[in-house]
Amino acid sequence: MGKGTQKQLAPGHVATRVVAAACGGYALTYAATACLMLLLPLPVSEAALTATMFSFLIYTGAIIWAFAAPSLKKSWLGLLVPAMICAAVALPLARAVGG
Amino acid sequence: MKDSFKQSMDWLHTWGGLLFGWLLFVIFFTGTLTVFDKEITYWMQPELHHLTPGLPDIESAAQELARAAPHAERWWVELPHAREPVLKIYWEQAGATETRLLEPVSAARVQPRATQGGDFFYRFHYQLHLDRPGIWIVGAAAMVMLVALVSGVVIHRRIFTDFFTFRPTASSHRAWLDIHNITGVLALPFHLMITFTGLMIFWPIYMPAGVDVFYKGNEASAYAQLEQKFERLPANVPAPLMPLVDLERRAHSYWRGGTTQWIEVKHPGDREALVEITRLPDDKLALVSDRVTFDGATGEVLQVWKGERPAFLTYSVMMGLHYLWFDKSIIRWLYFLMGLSATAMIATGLRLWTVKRRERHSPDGFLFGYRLVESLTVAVVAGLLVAVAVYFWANRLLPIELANRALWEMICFFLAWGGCALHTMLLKNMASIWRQQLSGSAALFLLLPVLNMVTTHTHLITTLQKGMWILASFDLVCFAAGILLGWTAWRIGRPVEVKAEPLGEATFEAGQT
Repeated sequence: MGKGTQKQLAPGHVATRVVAAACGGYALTYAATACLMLLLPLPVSEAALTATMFSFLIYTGAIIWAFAAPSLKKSWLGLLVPAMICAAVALPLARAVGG
Repeated sequence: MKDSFKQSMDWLHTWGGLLFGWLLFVIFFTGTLTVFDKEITYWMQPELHHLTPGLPDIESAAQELARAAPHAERWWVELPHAREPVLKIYWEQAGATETRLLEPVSAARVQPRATQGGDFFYRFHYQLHLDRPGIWIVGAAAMVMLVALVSGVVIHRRIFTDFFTFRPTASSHRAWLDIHNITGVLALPFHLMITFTGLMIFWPIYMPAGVDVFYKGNEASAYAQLEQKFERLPANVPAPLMPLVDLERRAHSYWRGGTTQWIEVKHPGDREALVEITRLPDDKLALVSDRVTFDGATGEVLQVWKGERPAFLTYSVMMGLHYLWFDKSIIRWLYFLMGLSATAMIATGLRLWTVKRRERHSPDGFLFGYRLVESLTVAVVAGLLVAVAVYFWANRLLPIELANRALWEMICFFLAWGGCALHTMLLKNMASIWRQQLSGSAALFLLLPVLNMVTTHTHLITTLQKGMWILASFDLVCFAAGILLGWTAWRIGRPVEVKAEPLGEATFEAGQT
């Protein structure tokens, strides 16, 4: 393949990706799940379950993104920006529901 | 992170797999044993082996409850079924729950030896015997497993050709990689399903957004709305309870066939008593089963419930796919085999990590870190196998009247495991340690049916003659396990000619396009 030596990773780089995946990924998943269940036109318990089923897929995708993103900046932004958008949509809706 | 998506996924798969591999091995192995948890419990209680199936005497069970706990807040009667031949009564009083086991037909009390039985593996599997923090840890491992499965598919693009590749004589690392791939790909839908459904079971703990947003963080009120159980407060006015056997028979008219699993009485002896009859879900995938609720004093039907709302039914089926109350023998055995396949995939993955790196470095330059990984792998993999066998030996050998007997069986398990961990520190040659521990577990499993012959009347010869298939299968699986582990130990013992591979080729293997 002619790749030569593997790209060496600084431990700090790895640690940042791990935190991004675990925490940033969870934040995105929680916000996206809350957003989804508030937007789904279903009865309350049905919406909650449906969105929760997707949450594990979202978290898997988020973790993969955290490690696959071409740079640390994209890794974090790719998780936090969608998380904030979802939170911005979900918070007023959640308050209206009384949660 | 790395130069390509595939390389990043390879890194993620390797390191996520390694760091969580030991934990995942334990979770998947105990989970595989849990497929037969009730059968294991039955084998571990020889005092129940004489029970013959028959129509359970519900009315006598109700009388037993009225005698034992007339002022309890709740009663339960759990009816016997194919996997569990005993009639159980429970009651809840002053915050504590008590159980009694009864013979199904006569409702006479039986007191088998104290043991956790198969529940020991069940609790190990979903919470590592650490309660709520343990559930968290298992959940984290399950997420890493999902990521490992997905990343494994990404790096293993030649998934179908490689399925038919097994090169046992190439190099050690290639052979292990091939087994890892085969056990992974062979039952990949199962691995994905079991991991996902496992996470879904504890969704209020892992992803509580649903509970927080709609139920103010109150899990109990979330489940109240999901399960829609009929509840009401007691009136504190005494009234006689309708005969349970009649209510149980009437409940059947609301179901299409099937048998009863549970009878629950809320506020027995009160005017506002409720009797809830639940159907046994052994012929459907949905775990949360049909229910009929009666007024306990008048016998009026208050609620006929089937969990048929679409999302709830999906969730119920997801749980059913994981718990497998759906009781067809062939499916249960397939789950067992696929669970073993997943366990083997994890174990071979751990082995592969070390073997691959050992081939790159000279034997002298084998670093402490690699030695630590290999020691941990032996201690966890082979040690757990030894510990499981010791648990069963302890069940047959510990005195019946021993105080805290169930706890002592557990202590024996952990002492054996600890012993194996210590053993890995005593010898220098890793292959010897593998061979010795695997041979030890092989011997323990092979001799277990023999021990059974010496300690009980329901040993292999009797159970084969009488057609007691649950008990016979247990002994036969132990034989098979012993033979398989013995063969593995012998195979590891054989000197293997390792063809040193140039570094470039190993890299190609990982990042192949």
